[in-house]
Parts: sequence; C-alpha cells; structure tokens
Amino acid sequence: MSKRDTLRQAFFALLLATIVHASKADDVAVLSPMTQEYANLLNPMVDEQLIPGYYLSVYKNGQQVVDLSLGFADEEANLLPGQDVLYFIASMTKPIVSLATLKLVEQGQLNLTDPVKQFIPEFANVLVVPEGDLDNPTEELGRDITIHDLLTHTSGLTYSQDITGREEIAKVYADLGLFAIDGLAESKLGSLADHVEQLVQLPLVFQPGEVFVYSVGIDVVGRVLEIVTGKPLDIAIAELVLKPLAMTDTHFTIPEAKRGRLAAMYSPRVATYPIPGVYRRYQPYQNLPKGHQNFGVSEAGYLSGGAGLVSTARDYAKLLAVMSNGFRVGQKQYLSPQIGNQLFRNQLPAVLEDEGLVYNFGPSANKTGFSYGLGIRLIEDGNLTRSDDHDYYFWAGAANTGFWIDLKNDVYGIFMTQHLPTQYDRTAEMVEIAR
Amino acid sequence: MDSRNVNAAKCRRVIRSLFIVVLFGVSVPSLFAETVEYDQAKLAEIKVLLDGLYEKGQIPNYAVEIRKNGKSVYAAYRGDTELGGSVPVGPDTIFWVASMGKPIVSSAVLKLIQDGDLSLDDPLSKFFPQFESMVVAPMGDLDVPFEIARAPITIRNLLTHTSGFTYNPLVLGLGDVAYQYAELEVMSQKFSLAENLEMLAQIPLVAQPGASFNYSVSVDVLGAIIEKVTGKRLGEYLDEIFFKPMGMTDTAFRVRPEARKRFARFYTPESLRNPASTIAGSEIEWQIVETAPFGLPYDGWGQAPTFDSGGGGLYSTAQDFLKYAEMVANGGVLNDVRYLSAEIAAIHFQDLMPELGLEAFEVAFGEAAQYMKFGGGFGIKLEEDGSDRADYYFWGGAANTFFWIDGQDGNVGVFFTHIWPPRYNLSDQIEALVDGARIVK
Repeated sequence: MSKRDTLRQAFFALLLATIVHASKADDVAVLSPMTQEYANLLNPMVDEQLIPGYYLSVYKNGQQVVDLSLGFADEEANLLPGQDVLYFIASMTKPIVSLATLKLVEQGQLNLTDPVKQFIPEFANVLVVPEGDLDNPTEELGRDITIHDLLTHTSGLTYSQDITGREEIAKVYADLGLFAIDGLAESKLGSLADHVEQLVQLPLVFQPGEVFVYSVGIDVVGRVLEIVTGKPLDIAIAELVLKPLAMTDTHFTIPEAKRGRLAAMYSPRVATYPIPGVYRRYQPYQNLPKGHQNFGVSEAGYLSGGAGLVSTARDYAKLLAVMSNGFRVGQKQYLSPQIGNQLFRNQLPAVLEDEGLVYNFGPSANKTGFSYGLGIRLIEDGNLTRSDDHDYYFWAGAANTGFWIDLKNDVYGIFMTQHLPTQYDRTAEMVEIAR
Repeated sequence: MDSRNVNAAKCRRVIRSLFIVVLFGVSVPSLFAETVEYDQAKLAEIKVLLDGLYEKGQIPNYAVEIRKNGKSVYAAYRGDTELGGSVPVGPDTIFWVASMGKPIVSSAVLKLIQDGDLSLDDPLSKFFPQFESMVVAPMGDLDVPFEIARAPITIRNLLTHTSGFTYNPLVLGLGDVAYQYAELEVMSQKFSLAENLEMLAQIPLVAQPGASFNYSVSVDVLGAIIEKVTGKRLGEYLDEIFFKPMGMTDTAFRVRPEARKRFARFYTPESLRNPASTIAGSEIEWQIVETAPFGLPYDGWGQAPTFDSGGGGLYSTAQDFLKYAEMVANGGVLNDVRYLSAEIAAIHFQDLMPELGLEAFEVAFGEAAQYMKFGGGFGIKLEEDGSDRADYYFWGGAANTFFWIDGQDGNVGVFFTHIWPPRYNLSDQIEALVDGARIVK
C-alpha cells in the first residue's frame, strides 16, 4: 500500500509541477519575445514527455539574453535545470581537448603535423582493412597518422558500434568495450593508456587522410597530451584550459560536494503503450553503477578526451566566449588568434567537399565541414573554403547536449538535457531564433 | 482489511445478480443508432493530421479507415510497406497488431461462456490447478512481506487484467516481479504454453486478485484456458469461430509466406547513434530508421510461433480487423451472420469491475489513462464531462496500431503504422475528428 501511496504522491507532485510550470510560462510571457520563441520550440519536448526537462542559455554581444528552463534535471531528486547544474557533455569534451592541443602547439611542445608514432610508437605498425570490412585484404599504412588526422576524424580510426561506428571493426570495438560510453563510469579495459594499447592492435577502417569517420581519434589525442605534458589528462586539461578560462565546474570526476548539482541521465523508454494519449517516453539510464544518477561520479572509468567531461552551461559559455572573442580571456590574450582561428577553418581533405560528415551522421549532415572538434555549417550554396560562407560552428554531445557559435551575429548558445542517445537535436532552429 | 474484503465480496455478489438480469432479463437489440451521416470535409482533417507526420518523415506510412453499417465512411492509405519500397500500404497490408489480439481472445472467451463451457466467475485453478494457492508480492516489491492470495483468480479477473499477474518491464510490468518475468522470459516463445504456465504459477502476483488493474499476461492465460476447454490450438479455434467465417484471411499468429510481401517493416526515430539514411527517389527527409522490436529482426517476425500468444502474437490487416470490430459493434452480427448473441456481445462494453475507480489505471498507464474503465477485453474511454457515457471502446498494439468502436453510433475505426516503441497514439485524436464530423439532425 505504501508504495502505491508513493506513486500517487509522485502523480500529484507531477500535477503540481505542471501548475508551477504554468505559472512559470506566464513569467516567460513577460520576458523577451526571443525567449518566448525558444520556449515555443523547446517546451513541447517536455510537455510531450519526450525529455524530463532542459536548460538553454544564449549570449549576444557577450551578454546573456536567454536563460530558459523547464521540467527537471533530476526528477527523483527534484533538481531543477539551471546554468549551474552539472551535465555529462560527452563529445562537447572534444573542442576543449582540441583547444588544449592548440595551446601546446603555441607552447612549441607539439606540431599538428607530428606523426602520432612519435608519441605512441605502436602507431607505426597499424594495418588498414579498407571500409573496416574484415573480408577485405589488409593493407599497410599509406602514410603516418598525424595529430591533425586525429583531431579531424580522418585518421582511419572509428568508434564503437554503440556510438557511431558502422564498420565491422566497430563491432570489435564494442565487444572489447574500447572507448565505450559506459566505460566512462566503469572501464572494462582499465586506464586511458590501456585503451590505447588495445586500440593499436586493431586495423584502421580507411587509410589516414581519406575519409571522415567519427572516431576515438580525440581520445588518442588525450593520451598524446598525457605523454607530452607528463601528467594525467585531467591535470593536463585543467592546466591548459580549465584554469586559464576559470571553468571551475568542469570535471572528469566531480567532487563529492557537487553531487547534489549533478543532473540525472535518461534514455528512451522502450515500452508498449496500448492506450491513446501522451505518456512518459524516457526512463532513467540503466547502465550506470548502482546509486549513480549520471556519469562523472565514478573514479573507475578512464580519462576520455573524446567524451569524458561533466560541465555546466555557465562554464561552457566561458569556453564559447573565448572562442568568440579572439581567444582573449577578458582583456588578456589566452591563445594567439593565428593558432586559435584554425578552429574556424575547414580542416577536412578538399576531396570530401561538404559531404564528409554524411558517412556517419546521415543526409542531414550534408553542407557541413569540420575543423578541430568543431563542425562547420555552411550557408545555402556556400563554399567551405570561404569563411564568409560559414553559417555557424557547432557540436553536440551523445546525451543530447549541444552548442553553437554564430560569429557573424556575435551569438553563442548552449542547450542542456540528458537523454542518451541524442534524439532531439534542435540546433538549426535555435540558431535561427537568435538572429 | 477484512471489512473491506467483505464489502468487495458483497459488491461482487450484487454485480453478479445484475449480470443475471442483463443475461436473461433484457434483450439488447442494437446499442447504436442505425443511420448517421458525416461531413466528409471534416473527416478529411484525419488525412491532414497523418500527412503532416508522413511528410515530415516521422511515420513510414499509414492505414486509416472508418466504417459504419458495413460501409466505408472514410479511408486513407499512404506510403509503402518499406521506405523506398514499391508495395503500397492498403487495406490488405499486414501489421503486427500485437495486443489487439487481446479483445479477440476475450470475444472467444465470451463465446465459450455463451456455449456454457465457461462462466465469468470460474476460477483459473479449475483448469490449471497449479494456480490454486498463489502468493502476492504487493506492488511487485520483493522486499516487503508476501501475502497469501485471499481470492481465487477468475475468468473475470483475466478478462480485465485484475488477476494480479503483470508483464515484463517492456510491457509496463510492475516492480521487481516484472524483472523476474523478464529474467525467466515468462510467456516468451522460448517455451511452450504449458511450460510458461508452470513458471507463471511459481512467481508471486503483484496484487490481490480483483483488487487492482495491472496490464498483464492474463490474456495468454485465457488462451490456455480456451485450448484446454476446446482441445484445439488457439489459432485453430479462432479460425473456426471468427477468422474463416468472417473472411479475415490475413489474421493469424503468423504471416503466410506467400503474404509476406504485404507485411510492413518496423521503424524507430533516428538518433545520433542511428541516423536516418537517404531513400533514393523519395522527396521526404526521413527521420526514422528500420528497427528490430524486442531485438528480433524483420525476418524473424511472422514465423510460425511456439505457442499462439493471444496477448501479443497476432498479425492482421485494416480490412480484416474492421470486420471483427464491426461484428462486436453490431452486437455479434456481421453480414447477417450471428457470431455472438446480443447479450454476450454487450459484455465487451460493460464495466466488469465497477468497484475499481478511475484511479485504478494510474499505476499502469499514468495520467494518460484518466477516464478509463475496462470491459470484457476492451478498454472503455469515458466522455471527459464526468458522465458515465462511453466515448469509445478500444485497444492498441505494441507497434503503433489502434482500433476503436464509437460509443455513440457504433462506427468502427483503425489506425495502423509500424513505429516501435509506439509514439503516435493518435486514436483519441482521430476518433474526436470523426465525432466532430458527425452530422446531428
């Protein structure tokens, strides 16, 4: 009986929450028309119970102009979404590690053209199985893999089938748990170094520099950073990026004291539902260690430069501010624009034109280029070589977080929710609303 | 607790005597008005609704049709059985209608009641003694003290999902017990029906029989009772009493090999992990990708089953299912052939557990189940004006198939597409459009 009462209470709490939201919606109405437009776009996802809640932050000319949320960041703990709520940002780690790499380039400790084997000798001997199909004859490396290849996903490495890997070898990654998402909480393979040691035993799926294959490349960069700096990746990233940018809420493993601000992870609820109407289409993510509401709690994972970070919208905005502001932190130059601006140039082989990302992300990813950890969306009939034709820069995390930088309009925005895998990407519409 | 039970028992006795009145005292010629007309322009809104989803690439196809008095009132079919395929979806496209088998099995139980082979309050243990003394884990929680079942599970309980059985978590199962169902794979095709029953009898119930609604394997248990009573396989019996005489040639627990080209594939929303691909020759930007419900790839669906699962194993078409719905709506008659007596057919629409309030459905279905009651194998959606009038009688299937019978004029409707898990539970909206199109004279 008591459990049923709990359920009933939960039901009433939900009703109450709806009422609170209703009054909150009234507040929104007196806010800016832009905020209202964002609410019109995003609120239905919560109202239709696709996700438990979201947070959106938009900045224009360096000032926050939208601070919008609805629902819950953790339903069980009654945690409301906000700019100081910690979210697992997954692949939004990649731009941070890319920036750290450029910082090392500036310090003269590394060149983007350096072959990876200079740091991890086993990369000299990896083989290639074209298209990742184990039936194809094995080839030797046509040329060495470089840091540039790793940062642009053109190294020939791939991802586990659980993420975006689509080749036969991606299945081998999955079977081994190689750079698996769930390994971030509990690694089957051990440390970052152990993962790399396993990775070099497997063949590449394409020759380096040929095809954009979304990959563990930036995880390998993470290992290179460890080797170059002589420090574990979390320390290296903290020193190269997080501390200089005052990103105080960005962690691979959050301190215990911040646990109460950590959002819960959700995933699609796969269930039959034989009656009409709207019902809850998400459920708590099932693959975390017992008692953990999200990634970023456990020390038993590996340090992932590709996907390991937990951050807040307020913190991530600091990164986007630096990138939008000529790589200055306040008045101080953090990174030379000459090096930093590499992030705003298409770094993919010209032969891929603007179709490179379609291989992994489907037809909606056409008209897109890629720099270092950052996608480049083109305007209609645009050309990637002309920076004037770049509509906006963006990337997203596997748990449905995303950001964009609209340099021409001096706008950037961050969207946070926790739904693994991403099913509700509204970036294109969000970019338009701020214009 | 004791006084409550006495009340419940008293209540049941009263209801039973009411039934006797219904069964023998009153004749039920026709529940619904004979003639009715609809505004075709308003009905066309149905197509607008579904075209919106189709053209945005959110559903692969759709089949929708409304019938009244043996005539099609409205029909719209669009898309192919497969994205990029060349077999258009039509009245004869085969869908996995899954839980929509439940009302059909319930109709067969009612037929056996009519024939005197069963009665509503027969205990399950009369047919399967292993269910004689059951243990109850309240709310399916294995960490609280178990109770002894205080009442036998009856046919009435099985028809209304008040047996105390549950389902695995993928089918809205309750508590730890649902995970036991999943681990042991209870009511799966891995085992024979007899083996499944053996396992089921050894797992605690999640509630006292008759005390609450829990969506469950109950209808598979009814299937087992039918097999026991008739000595026939469930599919064979349904063929004999309903499918063959009504001409429901594509309704079965399998897809005939020669019919397979008409069997629609399954789709799920795209994700970053699983992006949609371009379909050659299609102008639509698809936002869905083919999927394998319950992990079973397309080729595995429609194969001959180990046992005929009345709860979830049925395949059918729009034209077939509409025949069944019309037979029920017409008080047991289709094309001048009587399949059920009017009195028996009326039980489909009667609240068989009136002592359960509207909140009984919250646990299984949440908020969306407001205004819901349960009849003889049919969900009853009440009008939302607080009255007891039925808006419609209905049920749906796991891969986004729905049917309904209007409560006012008895028109019948189906809406089928194959999205897994179901996402476009639109029967309420479509039914409301039909209601709105009815011309009141």
